[in-house]
Amino acid sequence: MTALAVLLLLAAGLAWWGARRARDSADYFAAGHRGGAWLVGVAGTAAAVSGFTFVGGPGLFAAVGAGSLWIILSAPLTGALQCWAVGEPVVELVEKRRALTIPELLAGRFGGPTMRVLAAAIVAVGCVASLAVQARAAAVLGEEFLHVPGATAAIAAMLATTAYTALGGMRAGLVADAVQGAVMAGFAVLLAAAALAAAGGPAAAVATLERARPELLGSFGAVAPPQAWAWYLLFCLGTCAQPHYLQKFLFLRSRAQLRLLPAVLTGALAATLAVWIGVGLAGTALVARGAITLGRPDALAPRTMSLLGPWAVMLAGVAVLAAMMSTAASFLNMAAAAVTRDLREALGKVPLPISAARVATVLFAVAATAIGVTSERAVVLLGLVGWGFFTAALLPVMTLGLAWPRATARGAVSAMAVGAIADLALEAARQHLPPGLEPGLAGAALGTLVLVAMSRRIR
Amino acid sequence: MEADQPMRPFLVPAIATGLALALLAAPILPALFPVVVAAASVAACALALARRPSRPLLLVILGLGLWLVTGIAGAWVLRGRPLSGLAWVLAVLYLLPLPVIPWLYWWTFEERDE
Repeated sequence: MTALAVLLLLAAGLAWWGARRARDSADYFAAGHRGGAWLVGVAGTAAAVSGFTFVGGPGLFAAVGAGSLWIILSAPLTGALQCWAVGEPVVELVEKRRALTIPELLAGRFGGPTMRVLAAAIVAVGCVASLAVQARAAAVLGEEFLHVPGATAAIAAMLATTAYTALGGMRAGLVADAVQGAVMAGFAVLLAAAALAAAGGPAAAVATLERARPELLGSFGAVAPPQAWAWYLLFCLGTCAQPHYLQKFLFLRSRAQLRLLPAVLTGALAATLAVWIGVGLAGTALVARGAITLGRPDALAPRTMSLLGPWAVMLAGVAVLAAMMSTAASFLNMAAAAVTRDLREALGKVPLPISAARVATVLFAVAATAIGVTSERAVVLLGLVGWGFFTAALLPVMTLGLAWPRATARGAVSAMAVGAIADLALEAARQHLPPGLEPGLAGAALGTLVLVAMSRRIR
Repeated sequence: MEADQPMRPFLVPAIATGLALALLAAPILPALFPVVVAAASVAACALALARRPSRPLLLVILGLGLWLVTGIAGAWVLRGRPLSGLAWVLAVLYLLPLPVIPWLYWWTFEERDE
């Protein structure tokens, strides 16, 4: 409870600071285009990393071992990949058109209101779904780590995030994300080191697993290689299509900031991912030795933290909340921009003022928290609209669409629609899909084919 | 392609189409998967070549391709060995490139006259 009270106080201070500085739409939605590589890189990593890294990742290691690592193995590449594939063209378009949102940027590249309406709808739907999942996760993890009622944890985390995001927009959000990113990275390294020390060091942990659970080791653990490769590709290329990743490029003050950005992104991400590898490996070894008992794999991180002591439980709780709040702040801001700016302008109307964006931010937060806390079934359904959905809908237009001058608006709109629909259809049938057929990748592949075919046909 | 010439306009959609078809076929023909993973990852990085071609960038992209092919092939060869398989994946695909790839981006980044 003390941690939650401190959190709310800090958020109130930040909200007051941000409200005084967010003077216009550029401040509110794009942090005034004033960010440097360090601030944007650390904040970008914080927004990118959700609570899954701290809880789901180690849990997945306990379930499938080294196979889970294929989700994060692309981390050394993704910082540079994002800048090469999408960062450079996005920053150049922002410098030319002063775009404040991704739908606005796409409309600027391709032209036509349909593109902006569809992109805004995809962003708004995906953001609300992701927010509901974050609220649900805050409830579950608040109970596990902070030992408070789930609804209390979810409401407090979302209230704090909404306070500074609604009042200060991304001027406040960028600073908050950067602080949260630094906290997450530092705590992740500390917790991973402590967990490995409790297991007798990395060599002892691996030796334990080699004797007790050798099927979890090797290159792929208990995962079929095609599935591992599909994960690698989905979480490698997918970084070029996540709106909350792309949004950070809008914050940069100049193209020159890109030069250092991959180093900051990669460093912050690698530090944070230490918790996945360290707690996953050490916790699974401790389970094999009987020091921890697990009811389900997701309990690995909480049980390992409990074994380390109350200080570890507290640090993990703060890190998990920081991860969720930073991700939620980006989604709230983008959803508000989609309805108060993108949809309005696409329909030929004047964008609503910042005050309306503040109200929209609060409404999105209330709706997502209500869904996340009250309806488990709705959360399961909304969980389908996540990483894979954005990859399927946006990857073809953000990569091929920005690089190929002959890509047309009609081709891009069709690609987004086909990719999104294909992803949702395949997600619904996921249990029947062969290993390696990831809905997000398949949707992106179909979208790419449609983009090329439609653009060529029209010409 | 000559390193300092812009990428031919038909190459970008042609490569994207080929990769999309291969990606759809890979779950049915798993032998395709390692090739698609390496080719698609490198092709995404190579989009920068279409905008600002240079010999250093071309060499870096080719080097990334070589590293990914080696890393994935090694993981496949060592898949049945608990210790060396895990060590290969962590060392070659994760730890070794962590400081190198951001530096390669730094090195090939071109400042632009404002």
